This record gives sequence, structure tokens and C-alpha cells, in this order.
Amino acid sequence: MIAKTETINIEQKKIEPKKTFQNITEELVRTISKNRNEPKWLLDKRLSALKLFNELAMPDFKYGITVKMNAIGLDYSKLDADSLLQKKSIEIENKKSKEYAKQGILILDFYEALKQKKYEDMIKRYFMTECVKAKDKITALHAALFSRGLLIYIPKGKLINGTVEIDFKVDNSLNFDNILVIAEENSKATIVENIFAANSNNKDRRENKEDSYTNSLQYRSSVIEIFANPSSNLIFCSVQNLNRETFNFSFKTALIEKDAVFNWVDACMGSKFSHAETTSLMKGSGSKTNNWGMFLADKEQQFGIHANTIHFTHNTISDMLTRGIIADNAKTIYQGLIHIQQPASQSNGYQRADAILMSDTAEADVIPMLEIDNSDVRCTHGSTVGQIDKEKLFYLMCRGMNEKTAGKELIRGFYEQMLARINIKELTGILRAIIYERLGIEQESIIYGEKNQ
Amino acid sequence: MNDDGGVKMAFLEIRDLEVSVEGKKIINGISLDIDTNQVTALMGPNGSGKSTLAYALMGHPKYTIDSGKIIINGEDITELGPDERAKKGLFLSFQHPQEVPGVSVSNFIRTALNSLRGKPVPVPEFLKLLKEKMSMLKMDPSFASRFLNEGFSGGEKKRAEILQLAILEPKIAVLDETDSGTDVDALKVISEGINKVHEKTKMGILVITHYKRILNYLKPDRVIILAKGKVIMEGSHDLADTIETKGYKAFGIEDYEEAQVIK
Repeated sequence: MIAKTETINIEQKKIEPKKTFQNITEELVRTISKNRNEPKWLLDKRLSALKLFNELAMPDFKYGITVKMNAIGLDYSKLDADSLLQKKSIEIENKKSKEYAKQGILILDFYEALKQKKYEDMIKRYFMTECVKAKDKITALHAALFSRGLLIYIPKGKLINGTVEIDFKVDNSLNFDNILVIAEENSKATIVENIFAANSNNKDRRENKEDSYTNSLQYRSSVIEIFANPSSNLIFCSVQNLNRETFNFSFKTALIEKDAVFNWVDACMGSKFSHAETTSLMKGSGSKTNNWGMFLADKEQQFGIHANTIHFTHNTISDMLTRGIIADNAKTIYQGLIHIQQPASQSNGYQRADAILMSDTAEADVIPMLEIDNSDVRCTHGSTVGQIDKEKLFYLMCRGMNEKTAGKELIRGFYEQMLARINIKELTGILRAIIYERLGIEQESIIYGEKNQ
Repeated sequence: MNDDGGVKMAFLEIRDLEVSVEGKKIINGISLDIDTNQVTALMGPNGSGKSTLAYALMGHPKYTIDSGKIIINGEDITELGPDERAKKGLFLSFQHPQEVPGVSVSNFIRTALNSLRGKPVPVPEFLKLLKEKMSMLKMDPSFASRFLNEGFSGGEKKRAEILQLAILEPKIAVLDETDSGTDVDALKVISEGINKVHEKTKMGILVITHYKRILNYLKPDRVIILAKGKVIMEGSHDLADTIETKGYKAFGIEDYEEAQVIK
């Protein structure tokens, strides 16, 4: 499965047709770029990334202490690279983009943005340069093959009311998606990214539950880069609900400047295999970040979730909180890192991760890590991996609920408590639909009071 | 004891029950009949086995029944799980109810009611019922959307337990120290609530308490004293008065402190 380097010539395809990376050629990269009328600097960026990709070895994803993940079945040669040639855009409801435009927020397709000098410069300066760099095989491949993206630009002082919702329909064999957010000083916005498989809709699922999870092999790579300028206030939420044959890689990084507040919400629900990194770079003093994570893994799903907060400077505050359920034969690894660097005196880092195992065959590692290079800081972490609380289960069963119903109710509560804390209506709606469907709870049967809406 | 043929059986019969927790015997052979429409007070020093009896009745997995039987309506339920016991009409108001984060009072009770009835109760009908019972217990309507027991005061937790009792309407309610952690006013409201449910449903009540306070409202038909896991005395309401004034020493059993040491 692991091929170190690939020579890009057509003859080799004939000789070794099963080579994993045979599809990924310079010709492909050039065609993708040409079809999109890209400027030369962008093609060069792709080509140097391809060079790096060819030089690097494939990671084995076998991280974790007791749990070993394995991306079995990830064979690039089985993916249809030609699907990248087609130019596709990202769905944002027209009505809404107009509404956002009226409020002064700009949501532009990368290729629309590239037509204007101002935004081309912005993309040139920020896209995969400072936040997410091509650093390994997967990110290098992303930089070489990215095929669609959005530039979200929030001008100075603009406060966006409501939530910016972006639908990412993943319908290619290979998918390389980007969002680049630049929030200028004193701006404010909440962005919700909803990622779903093309053929997933609730009706199909209800009618033929098993089939909707056994779709064809897909690969999705996503790069989200956030530049939170001084005193900006941003929340970026991502709900990933890809089909059960998708290998999913996501790299999200925010650069947080002075007195800015930036929060991540990352919900990992779908896919066959996910490697998800969420990073906050606290560059400016007085900045704050929350990193909220939720996941639900069942059947054969494997998630590697990595949350990182790096405190570069003084008076920075971070809070990481992740909750997950692991059922059936699923495996998850959560790694949370708080790195407080030497200049980051008077900083505060907190992290907590709780995972509940629902079966004897489910596996989970929760690994909190602290690296502290300054003694004048406060830093704490806590983590649990366990089963559903037996005393709580008994309490619910004493009220007539059978073990299954009682367990579902406790899990529902486990997530609802997070949703209440995050308190973003649109996000709550999307996540409830997914979680309740997976748990087999009829959403109509739940009463939402004012507090829990 | 009425287990002879020809005598009407009590709704709940406890027969020669012996219970141990983590290998330690706590209940040493108790036989007790609790009937519907009857109020029984169960008193005794700490460590006498009152709460153990309550948990064993509900089928807590940590409480092992070594011998004896629990019979409801003529059916041996000793082997049944807590949910099945609840369906047969048993209810335990917990001394320390669990917090259920993320699940609101209204959703919790509705799921419980649906489970007991075996079919969903329409939301409007349920909300009407909830509103009525909450007002009976003088609870603020906002209470319904709070997460059950999370951040509740002692009194609020007890009120929430009795709210569940009032809606779920069991045949037998075991009230484990419902009076602890409540102030005088709250206890009055809670007790009156229990009495209203009792009048309406004719449920039987087994009230576990240290104090006479709650018994002034609930007016037990009889008082049973437990010590070292055995029933040592059964009598009328007067027994509670004697305990209140003279302590358990009057009955020749260890007082509170000594009982604590044994525990």
C-alpha cells in the first residue's frame, strides 16, 4: 500500500498498473490548473507541492498508545483523478450570499476571487503559507491537487448577524476543498460548515438505512485557514458527515492576533477513516480560544482527532473540550496538545476530553499533552475513557426505561450538554439531526424548552 | 403476616429477604407486607439497612439478594431488572438522585412515562399533565427545561423526585429520606403533594426517615423499626414520637453514633 516515490510517466502505468499513486501525475496537476485558468504562481505552487509529495513517504497513521488505527483500503489508484478536472463550486444559498453581501461580508469562490487583483493578492499571501503548510504526504497532495475553495473576507469593523452557513457536498471520487477566512480588525462572525456525502439525505437513510452507509470509495481532503486579526471575534463550526467509504483528512488552523477571540467547533460524525487536526496559534497577547470537539464513531469507523493549542505570547487563554461516543468495532484516538511557549507568561490553558465506550469491542485512546516552557502560567487537563455511568443508568431504569432507552437518553444528554454550551442554533439543528438518527431517537419526540433550544 | 391461604395478599410482599453489598450482609432476613392505600414508616439508626432495603427492592445490581423473595401482585420479581419492577408499579424516590446532564426535566419524565405506558404520550397531553403537577408542587415553569438535577438545590432535587412520582403514579412508592435536605416550607409542599397523589391513586407508601417531621404530614398507618438488618418492632404512629423524644436507646438498640461505628 505504501509507495515511496512515483515516477510520472505513462509507461510505468502499464508496467505496474496497481501502483497506488499512478493517477497523480504532473500532467494531471497541469490540467487541473489549466482548466481553471490559474495564474502561474499558483501552478508553480502546485508543482512544488507535487515534488514534495513525490519525495515523502506515506504516513502509517498508527498513532495512539493502545489503539492502533489503520487506513486499510486507501488506494489512490482506485480513485478517479479525472473527476478533479471538472470545476465545481461550493453551495451557498443565493439568497443568503446576497444577505451576507449586504452586511459587507464577502464569500467568493476561489476562482472568482482570483479574477480581482486585491483578492488574488490575498490568496497568494495567505493560502497554504502560514496556517496549513504542505508538510507531509497528505498536505502536499492537497496543495498539488486542490480543486475548489472559498474566500471569506470580513472587512474591518463588520459584525455579521446570524450564522454564515456553507454546504459542502462531497460528490467526487477525489475531493480537495479549502476555506480561507480573513477576519479584519474588530469584525465578528459565526461560520458553520456542513460537509455531507452527495447521496446522503435523511429520507434515503430512513428508507434504506444500511445502503446509505455503503457507498463507493471516496477521498476527501480539507484545508481550513483562519486569520483572526486583532480584536476580531470568530466562531468556525464544522460538521463532517461523509459516507462510510470515505477517507477523510482535515487540517484546520487559526492564527489568532491580539485581543481576538476565536472558537473552533469540530464535529466528526461520518467517514470510514478520519484524520482531523484542529489547531489554534495564539500569536497575539490577550487572545482567547475555545476548541470544542464532538465525535460519534460506530461500526468500523476509525477517527484520529488532534486538537492543538500553541500559546506563543503572554496573557493568552485557551480551553479545549471534547466529547465522544465509540460504539461497535469503532476505534478513536484523541490527542490534545497545549503548548505554552517561553514568552507566554500569565497564560491559561485548560483541556478536558471524555470518551464513552458503548461496546466491548470499541476502542479509544484519550491522550492529553502539556508542554510548558514558562512557569508563570496556569495549565490543567483531565480526561476519561469509560462506560456509561452505572448509577445513572440505574436511576433511569428505576423510572421504567429499559437499558437501551436509558443509555440512549444519557448519550443524548452527553451531547446536548455540549450543544447547550456552544449555543449556536444552526449547528445544534444539524448535529441533532445526525446524532438522533444514529441513536435511533425520533427528534419530534423531544421537547425543547427555551433554555435548551 | 398474611401469607396463609384465604387471606388477601398485600401488593408488595417481602419474604425472608437477605441482602449483601460487596460481600457484606446488610439485610438479615426481613419479611414485610406493603399494601396499596397504606402508609408505612420505616425508621432505624444509620446503618440499619433502610436504604439497602430500598435499593434491593428496586433491583440495584450492586445489592445481591442472597435469599428470600420479593413478590408484587403475587408474582415473584426477585430476578427482574429495575425497569421491569417500575413497570409493575414500584417507584423509588432517591435520597440522592443522580444528575442527568443534557436531559431536561420534561424530556426525562416524558421518556419515563412513555416507557411505563409502552406507547408515546402525545406532547400536548404530556405538557398539560406536567404543568398541572408542577403547579401542585409550586414549581416555576422554567424548571421543566432545566437539565434534571444538575445544579439543583437539595430541596429542588426532592421536588423533582415527587414531580416524577406525581406523573408516573406508581402502585407503591418508596420514599428514601425525602425529608433530608429540604427546609420546612419545601417539606410542607412536598408532603402535601405526596398526600394528593396518595388520595388520587391509593398508592402504598413506604417512607424511610430519621425524623418525625415528615410523618406529621404523611400520617403513617404503622411504624416499623429496623436495626442491624432486621425488623425489631412494629407499632403505631406513637413509635415515631418515642424515637423523637427518647432516641433508639428506648428500644434497646445502638444510638446513632454507635450505629455509625458499626457501619
